[in-house]
Amino acid sequence: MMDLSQKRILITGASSGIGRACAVAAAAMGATVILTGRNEERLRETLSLLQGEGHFLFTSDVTDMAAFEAQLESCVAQSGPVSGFIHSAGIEMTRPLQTMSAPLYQSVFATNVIAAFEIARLLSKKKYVDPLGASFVFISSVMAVRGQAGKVAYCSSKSALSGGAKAIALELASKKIRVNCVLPAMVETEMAKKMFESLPESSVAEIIKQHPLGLGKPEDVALACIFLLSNGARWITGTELVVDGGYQIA
Amino acid sequence: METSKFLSLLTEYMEIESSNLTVDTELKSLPEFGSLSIMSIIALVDEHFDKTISAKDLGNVVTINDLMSLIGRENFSA
Repeated sequence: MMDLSQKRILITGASSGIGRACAVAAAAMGATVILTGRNEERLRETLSLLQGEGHFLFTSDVTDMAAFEAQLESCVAQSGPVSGFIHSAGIEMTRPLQTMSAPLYQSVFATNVIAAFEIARLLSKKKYVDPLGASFVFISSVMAVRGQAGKVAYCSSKSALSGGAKAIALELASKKIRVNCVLPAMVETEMAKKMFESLPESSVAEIIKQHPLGLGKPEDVALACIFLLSNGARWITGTELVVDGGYQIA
Repeated sequence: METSKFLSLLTEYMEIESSNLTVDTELKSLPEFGSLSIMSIIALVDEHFDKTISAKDLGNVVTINDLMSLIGRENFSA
């Protein structure tokens, strides 16, 4: 059911954290993986962790779509059309409302939201997409639906990502492209570590306590993404899959 | 940065009502001090000194003077 053989999966933010775990899991399920991210060295590290041969990587800035498309085009010419996309590139920002400004919101939205929609736009073109259909998965967050102090940019960007995914799901259904979001709670990644350092210890302890199953591992989120990419999820589109160790019900 | 400029930035970021902030003011004694203040101070230091400090570092800070030492004395003029 979770088999991804004969599928080519593009993953942004593949140089670390959830993106890297998605790449490892997708390759383990038989996919050909196309890794992209900003740092070539770290992308190569991810590549070295992948099972199987014939994976691809290109460095990219997801906020520069013209350059991104040029890279994508030459990659797809070699790999074949894309059957899956995971948008895992994301920026975290912990700042109270009073310290925010328009450029700060714009930088978060450029990577977390607009890049996902723009890459979906590119990938849904006939020349890039697998004629058998495709599945797009955006890594959103439980913060799309639950607020947290100091997170106005992050929460709103993830809500926007979830909202847009539903509209895109409707537009692309006729092309046999499914679009879904995964909503993780706190996962042990470099990003989470950095965020914890910006919070008082009491808040950190409280956040951990709000996860009945403890903090998540990147692999926990990756496997949910693999399911959505697989043919096992062929009737699932426009949904939000919460993967949060019980955070939402606690 | 001049110390007076730093004090006015702190006043702005922490939304402090009183205007008689001095380097000897104890941050936690301010009625406006709360969990958001820590995030605001981290943001201020990041933005104006291009330096990342953690909430843990701030835990040892009592006065504004201590905060200036944490940021680094070389960044301040009288």
